[in-house]
Amino acid sequence: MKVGILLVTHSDIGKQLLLTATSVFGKNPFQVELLSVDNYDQPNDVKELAEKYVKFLDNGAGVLVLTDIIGTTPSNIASSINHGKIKVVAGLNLSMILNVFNYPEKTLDQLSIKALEGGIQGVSKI
Amino acid sequence: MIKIKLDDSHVSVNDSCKTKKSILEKISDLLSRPSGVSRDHIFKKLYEREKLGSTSIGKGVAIPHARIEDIEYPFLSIIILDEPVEFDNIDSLDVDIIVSIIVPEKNYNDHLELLACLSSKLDNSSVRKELRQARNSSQIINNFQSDDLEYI
Repeated sequence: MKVGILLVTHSDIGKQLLLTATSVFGKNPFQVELLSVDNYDQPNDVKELAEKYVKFLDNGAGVLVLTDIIGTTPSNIASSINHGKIKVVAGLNLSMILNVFNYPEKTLDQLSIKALEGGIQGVSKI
Repeated sequence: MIKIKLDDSHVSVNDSCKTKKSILEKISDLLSRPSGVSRDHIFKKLYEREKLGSTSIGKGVAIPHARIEDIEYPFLSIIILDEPVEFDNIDSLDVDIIVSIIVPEKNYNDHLELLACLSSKLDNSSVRKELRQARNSSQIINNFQSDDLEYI
């Protein structure tokens, strides 16, 4: 059993990051789905969709939900998903996805920490 | 209850596809005529989705899916391979059961309901066994009867 991943982001950000991460890493080792949120979407409708996605993605190991900026509609939706085995991490960036891709066998708890670490490591002054 | 198009012509048993690409082409072939959407367009949509990550769900099963403009109903296609094929699978088992859907672009809800319904059905090991042992399309279709789906 492997953790499933749902990206909940503003418009196309999730798709582009995922495509780039998959291309850089060489493959995407997870079952992933994308949910893009636009200004005209009704939060309640999107929350319902998010819950359906999570239900589909959870094969028993749980679902890691990655979302972009904290405090906005996508992250509010992500954090309101009603589901047993779920972890939500905000601040999505390329480094976060790549770090997660490196650990396909980790548990949901471990993977959420890898997401957090990868995301933070990706931000630095150069 | 979701209305969905499925008939014998959408099913391929004892199929000999050897690659992920040829499987996606086969699905496009099977669904192009009944849906009225060009083979190339279906292929492009399925291929674009696979680029984001494999639609393999483990245990030898994949559910390639795409939302497509200009179709009125969802269409289901089923391919059972003689020999499993590498499908960028999420586990160590190559794929030999391919259950594919194309869904109207606007029906986001139906799309997800269908994915959830199909994946829970295919999570049942006896269903997978029957699909692998089936020798004709009606045996395959019988395994997809569900209270949630109405075949039209």
